[in-house]
Amino acid sequence: MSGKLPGDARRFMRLESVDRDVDEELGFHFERTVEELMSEGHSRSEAEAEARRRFGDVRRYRRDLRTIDRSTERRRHWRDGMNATGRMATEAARSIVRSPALTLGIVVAFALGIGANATMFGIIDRLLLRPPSHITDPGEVQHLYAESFWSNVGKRVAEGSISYQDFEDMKAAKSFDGVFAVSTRELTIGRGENAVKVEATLVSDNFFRTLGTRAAAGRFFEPGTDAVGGPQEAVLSWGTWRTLYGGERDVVGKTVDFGYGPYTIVGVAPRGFTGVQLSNVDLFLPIQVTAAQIMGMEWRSEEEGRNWQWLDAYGRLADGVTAERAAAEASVLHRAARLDDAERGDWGADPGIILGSLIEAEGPNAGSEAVVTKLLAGVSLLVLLIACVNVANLLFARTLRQRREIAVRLALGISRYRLVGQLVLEGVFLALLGGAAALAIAHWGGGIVRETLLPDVVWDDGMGDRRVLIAVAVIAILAGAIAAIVPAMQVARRDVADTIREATAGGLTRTTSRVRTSLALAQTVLSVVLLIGAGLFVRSLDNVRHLDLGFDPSGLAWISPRISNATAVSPEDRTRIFNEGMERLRRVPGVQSASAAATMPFRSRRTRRLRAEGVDSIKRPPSGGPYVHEVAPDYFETMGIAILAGRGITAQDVNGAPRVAVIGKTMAEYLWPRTNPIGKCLYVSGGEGLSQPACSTIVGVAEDASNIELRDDVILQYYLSLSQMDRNGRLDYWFVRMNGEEAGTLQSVRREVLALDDRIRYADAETFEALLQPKRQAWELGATMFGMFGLLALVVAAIGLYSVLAFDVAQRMRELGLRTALGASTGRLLRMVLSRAIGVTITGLVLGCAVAFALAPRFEPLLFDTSPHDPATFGIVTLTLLAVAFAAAAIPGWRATRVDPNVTLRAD
Amino acid sequence: MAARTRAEAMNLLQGTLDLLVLKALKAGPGHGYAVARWVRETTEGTLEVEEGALYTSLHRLERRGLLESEWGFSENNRRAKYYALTARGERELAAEATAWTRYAEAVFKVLRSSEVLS
Repeated sequence: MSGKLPGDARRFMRLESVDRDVDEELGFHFERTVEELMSEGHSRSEAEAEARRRFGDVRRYRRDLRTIDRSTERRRHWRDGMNATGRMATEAARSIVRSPALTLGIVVAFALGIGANATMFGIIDRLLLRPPSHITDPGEVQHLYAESFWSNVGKRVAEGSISYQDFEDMKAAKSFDGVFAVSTRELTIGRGENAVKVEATLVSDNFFRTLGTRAAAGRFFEPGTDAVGGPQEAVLSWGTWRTLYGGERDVVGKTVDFGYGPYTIVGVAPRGFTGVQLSNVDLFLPIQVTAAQIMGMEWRSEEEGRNWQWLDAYGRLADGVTAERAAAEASVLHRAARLDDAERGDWGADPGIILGSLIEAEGPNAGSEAVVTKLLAGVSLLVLLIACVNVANLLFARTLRQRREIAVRLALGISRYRLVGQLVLEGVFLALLGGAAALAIAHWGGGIVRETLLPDVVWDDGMGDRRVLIAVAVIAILAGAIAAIVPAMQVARRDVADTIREATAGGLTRTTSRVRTSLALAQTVLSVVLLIGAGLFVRSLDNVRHLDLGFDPSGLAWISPRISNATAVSPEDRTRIFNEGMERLRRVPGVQSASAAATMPFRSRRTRRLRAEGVDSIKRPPSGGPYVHEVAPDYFETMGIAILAGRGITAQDVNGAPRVAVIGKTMAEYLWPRTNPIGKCLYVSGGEGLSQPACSTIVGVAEDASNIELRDDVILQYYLSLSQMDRNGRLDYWFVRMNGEEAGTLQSVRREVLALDDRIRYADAETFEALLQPKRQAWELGATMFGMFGLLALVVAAIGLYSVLAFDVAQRMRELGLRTALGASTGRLLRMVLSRAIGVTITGLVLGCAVAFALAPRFEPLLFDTSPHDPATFGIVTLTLLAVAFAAAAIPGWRATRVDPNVTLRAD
Repeated sequence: MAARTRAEAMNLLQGTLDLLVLKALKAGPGHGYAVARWVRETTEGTLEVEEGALYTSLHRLERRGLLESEWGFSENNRRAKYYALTARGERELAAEATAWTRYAEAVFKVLRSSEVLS
């Protein structure tokens, strides 16, 4: 058993003595029994036989007794250990209570450090560690990405969104125990001002079954029911059931209407279930049934379907099948179907399927939020480290103050082991107190961070809090032990005689002062690094905010009507509604100009079969396209897109007039390098009454405008006149440019739209600033959190520097007094005291800048148009740190010059 | 031999043995040999118990914290292990003794009863 453990010799010896004791006890017993029997007249051999008879089986009893005594011994040992720990704990607790001010300082430092980590842990746990809730064996569920090689970027690109046909190809793969499709859509319940917007997730009917999720009420979709024209059924999320339906049991069987006829509610999903995503879902709808109603049927057509990449596919690996094998099988199926597209250049070369984790942040297309979050986790650990260093410094100051007491206790023979144990335990207690405060910080602070910076993520699934609690306990114990071990070892290592001598002299040895100084130095370096990180993120955020998008987002808003049952509105009606709407919007007070288009940046894109004059085939870049925007007159003025040559789309470009096009700068350059594109032809499929692509003459060149991301690598786009194109079942948007008072204007705009036609159930209206906000999220997150942490680090470092100097001055009162008495000038005294502060600050700055200089380039992908060696950032941080160091040194310095020689000299 | 068989028939329970040992040490500390002799003499051989079992009981009681032990010197100056009741041992003895007496009295009453089932 454990007797073989090396280094357990002491225990082995203890057990050996247990055995000896049993033998000795029994020996005594037999001796006395034999003696007594012999005194009664028995012979020795008779007496010995009788003694053995009376005793019973000696060998068995001896074995039993040894077993019992060994366990007695183990219990005793354990109890002694517990008692010693208990005594140490009591001592530690007493020592904490004795100095409340110091305790408060340390607890605050720990609370901030641990609080920062607890906050980050909560976020990391949700984003990176914990898969979405209520999924059986989530590790087996994989996201299927279509991957192919794009020659113009020279690398393979993974695309999460695929077409319905791609999804159907992969359903045939036997490596999966179910492949399901997911697509999210915004829908509205009710109409007009009272309408409620809901987040719907469209899913194939095997979605719940494959995930292994159980309904909280009712049932989920039956196999085989999801088909075009199939039963209109809905599953509510727990949240929707509680808020919209008051949590009533009889909700199952009721109907809900999004403007496409009633959907029967068949079940309720469990609490916190959001499917495969982390953001909120209000209800789940069958994907084919619903898509047929809200998107028309193009996604199902043989020719056009594969151009509609609108859903994500996931599969559960079948028993014993590895991800590699499943990917290989899916790739074969996918390649067979996509090869023609790849050869035509409509799709990347060598298409295949790769699998990725259900946790999006671990997949091939992890967003920058995930990367920033990981970085911030590192930063929060750094903050904790600074807090630990600071606490070590404070504890060290305290142990120095107590060294007379400690010296005496050491002289009295208390073991160093116990002394160190007590000091470390003290650190852990303090850290746990800090941890308790940290929980409050994590709760409130974390709440604010989540609400403002990651608003879309659903946090409450009843799991997060417990995990944060455990994390805080673990972090606190580790942090406490780490912070306390250095000062404890310092004190315990020292020679008893030295300590007593020193304690009496009231001086400070070189070692102790060196330790404290290096701790202060470490803090300074860490805070410089953090501040530089914060600075770089703030600069990036500033650049993102002021990024030239090619259009002017400030004062710009979009409006889109939700028309019930889109197919019931004839194309003529639609055109009339849009034209009338545009006229009305122009007259709304506060609106400068208004226009309309079939697509809008960041929200929808559209491509058409396209041929360009004198160009054999148009290679698609990975950002896709060329994208077509069918726009109304005044579009460029309203959006704020500059026309670089020629003209924009005007009111004269109507049906029947010559077909015209405006081309984006990059696309013009891409098709006809160094040639004036104006007057050339684009042959575009589709158009009023046209079966063959007809020539649209290019009449103008427009500045590139961001369409998919804040900054698209290669953006190919062109503009056609809305009224020269067919308008079947297409989404349409109005745009308005407003001056001042946007909220009120937007409200009037929405009312105007709702009044247009009673088939309009609801109108989406949003400023572009609001639309862009989530896209700036990664930098907002980085700048805010880095800034907070950097500030925290700065404060902590300033306190550390201050405490070193203040302690110095207090220690050297006598010396300073003497020097004052001997006529030393104020300047000389100041120099004496502050030389250390200056040394620490300058060294810390240089080292910190060097570390930041070396590390920053690794974070370059996270920065936006900001050099990792941005001189302004480094300069500002240097100035800030100097100012803070000066402030921290000012009070001790002032005190040093005010030393009254009479008082200090008389003190001894 | 007859006495031994009866003792076995009475199926002397561990608890009873513990009670005897505790009672033996009630008067003051003693070593294992003294406890064994006290039990033999007090019961006048009615309960013949293997002495090994008595030692097992002593050690078990020590493990339970009802007894504590200490090495000392016996009357003729030999090293012997002395057992003494702890405070918990005293309490245990009192409680067990009461329970046993009540139990024995009840059985006794039944055996003495002259009433018959009607």
